[in-house]
Amino acid sequence: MAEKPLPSLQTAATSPVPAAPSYVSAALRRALPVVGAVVALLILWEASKLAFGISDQRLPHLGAIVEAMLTRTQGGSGNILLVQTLLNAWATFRVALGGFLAGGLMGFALAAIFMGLPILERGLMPYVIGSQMVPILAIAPMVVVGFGRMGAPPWVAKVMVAAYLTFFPVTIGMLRGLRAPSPMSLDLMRSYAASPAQVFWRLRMPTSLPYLFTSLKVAASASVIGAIVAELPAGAREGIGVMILTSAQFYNSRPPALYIAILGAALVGVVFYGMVALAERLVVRDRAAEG
Amino acid sequence: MSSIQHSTFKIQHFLPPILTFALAMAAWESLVRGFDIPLYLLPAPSQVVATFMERPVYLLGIGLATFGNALVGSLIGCGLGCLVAAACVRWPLAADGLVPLSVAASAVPIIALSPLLGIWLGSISPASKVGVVAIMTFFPTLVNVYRGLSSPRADSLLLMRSYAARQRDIFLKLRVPAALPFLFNALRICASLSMIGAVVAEFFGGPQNALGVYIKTQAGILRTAEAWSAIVVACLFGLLFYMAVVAIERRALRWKL
Amino acid sequence: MSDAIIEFDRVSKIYQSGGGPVTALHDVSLSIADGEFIALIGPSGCGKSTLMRLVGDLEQPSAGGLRVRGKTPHQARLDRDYGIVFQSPVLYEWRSIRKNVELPLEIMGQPGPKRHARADELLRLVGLGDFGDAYPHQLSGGMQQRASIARALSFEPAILLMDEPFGALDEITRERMQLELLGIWDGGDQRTTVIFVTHSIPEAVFLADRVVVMSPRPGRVERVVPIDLPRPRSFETREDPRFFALVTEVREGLREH
Repeated sequence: MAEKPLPSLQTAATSPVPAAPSYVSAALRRALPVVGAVVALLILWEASKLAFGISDQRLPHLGAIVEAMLTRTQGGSGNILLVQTLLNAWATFRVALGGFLAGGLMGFALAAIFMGLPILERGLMPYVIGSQMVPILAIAPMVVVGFGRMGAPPWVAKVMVAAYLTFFPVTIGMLRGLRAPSPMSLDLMRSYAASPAQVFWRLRMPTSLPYLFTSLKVAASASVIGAIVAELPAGAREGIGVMILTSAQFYNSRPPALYIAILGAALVGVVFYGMVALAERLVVRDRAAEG
Repeated sequence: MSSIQHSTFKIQHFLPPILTFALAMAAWESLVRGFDIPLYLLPAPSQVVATFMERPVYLLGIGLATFGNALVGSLIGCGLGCLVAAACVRWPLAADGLVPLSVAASAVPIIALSPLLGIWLGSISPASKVGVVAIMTFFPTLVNVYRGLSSPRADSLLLMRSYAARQRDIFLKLRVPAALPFLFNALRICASLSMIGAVVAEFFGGPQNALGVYIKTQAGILRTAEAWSAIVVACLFGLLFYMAVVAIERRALRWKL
Repeated sequence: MSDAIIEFDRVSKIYQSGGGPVTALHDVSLSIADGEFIALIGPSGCGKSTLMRLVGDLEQPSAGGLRVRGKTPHQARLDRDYGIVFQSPVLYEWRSIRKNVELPLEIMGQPGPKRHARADELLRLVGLGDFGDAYPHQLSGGMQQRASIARALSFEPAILLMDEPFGALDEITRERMQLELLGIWDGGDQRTTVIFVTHSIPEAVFLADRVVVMSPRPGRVERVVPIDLPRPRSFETREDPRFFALVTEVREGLREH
């Protein structure tokens, strides 16, 4: 394992002309170890089967999983399992996105209101914090069953669970961001006799963006988990959560299906997170995205 | 910083949450009573407490069992996370591969692994719940501690170099202390994550005497007050865990005060 | 030159950067006598810090020879021949001031009670006798830098490398610190060799035996100005006409290229 050379030395050595090529090679250099780690994991998978004699029932071959992805469901008449999984993932994704948007908007609105009216903050903030005392994931089954009883369409309860998990980090992160401008930059605005709205849109909002995205990334993962857990109670028909439950139930007859369902769940989580991270890169250009 | 100042600070610190809690309970109670919300939807706090008092020993007992899973799981997950983070500092190539992967893994709903771990380790056995919590806490710990271990600035490292310090000294006297705030940050996350994680893992099946199983079955037959009383127990243990971490942090990071 | 403690022989330093190689130092020859106080001065980018860091083996020359106490800089570092003070104090925030001063002694394996006594002695020397138990963040910038100087002196190195140590301080504190530094330097039975990097002309003239004036692009020694002001220097030194004449001479040297 060679020692990592200094990045500045390396770019100079490999690309005499700066600009695009160095970006590409830098991205490659960053991606390569990750790809390597993934390949190492896959090798470890097959090797451990070989070394410890783990049965196909416990840990199917990677090939068997790929094969199962391409088999038709419902006894040969339905979609192939891969498409079925993607459809379910899409259903979960929609719920998570709906909750994310609703919760995000609510979090944003609360933060803006608290920013403008500190009295309201003093009065309501304790409830916002107190709301997180309720482990929504643990009561998700009851929320879903309860709303079902009241005759609401099934997506309402799921979206609510996802939204509930989203709004808190957004409120806290956004409020911190809105308060982040330094006294000096506020004084500068004051010297221009800027209106409160101008201070908000031209100073506080831009300053808060890095904070906002940090909490949005937390919220993205949380809303996906919320959506999946909300799909667990009996009665739900679509979604990755349902797939996981049923494939676990019929694991003995078809082990690969559970692995595929879990991959689907991972896909939803990573894609959602990736979208937020991408948006962050586009919006907050000058700040290196991390984490 | 006298001890008197310290204690007043503490009262100021604790009073608002207690008041808020009382207010929230009162609001909840009057909401349920005022609007005649059906019991199956949302029980009033008084009903939850009454239900809890019917079998407190049983509820606390199953709470303790689930909490045990959460605790053991976090110890394993956080411990492994720290070890791998240290290895990543030692071998940068491993860091380049593992750290981005762990960031991505934090976005994966680990809870989805519960049934699989149930199949591997036995869905009734606590080992599968411990496994879920361990995986859940492993990734945030790895990412945070790795950041902490790599947080010393160039000057701090040059200082060590000027003393011709051994790698061991650099690690123990510079990197580890610098990583402690990051570690505690991770531990706080894990403390709040692990109890819920253990409960939700039990939604996928588990031993009869476990909080998650109890909540799921009671909610399924619309005995909401029973389910809620179990949730209160989960909150209680989760809160205790969190407070224990904060208390240890206060002692360990005294220099920050 | 047998009494030279540091000997630069046509040393060059070239960095590789995105825009091609940059010559930070070009063909520098300089010899520094034992016990001499040398100030390196020049505009940003003249390589004065690089020159100092080469002595400390924090960077390696691209060409030429460099001997420190007759050895390679690498060997000199392993022998702990120098102490270093950076522009920022670089105190480890989790250690008390005393433990910070003890750090190098700890790494060099001195027993606890001995280094404890030594740290207290040095803290008294720099006027921080009462602050041994304080943590860095409780001290002002000037006090932190004093602690950093105490730390550098704690193991009695033959050479003291100071990289703009007073650069972040206000003018008033700065002048006081200069006097204190000279007091400590003059006070011992044997004078330590000091390399002091600065971009303040009066500071260089006030402190040094010789001021090495450097110019940028590529960094090289423009002129060496001997400072014949009598020692011990005092507050009045700065009002001496000879002081002004030397300040002017250094300033002219900086204008030349």
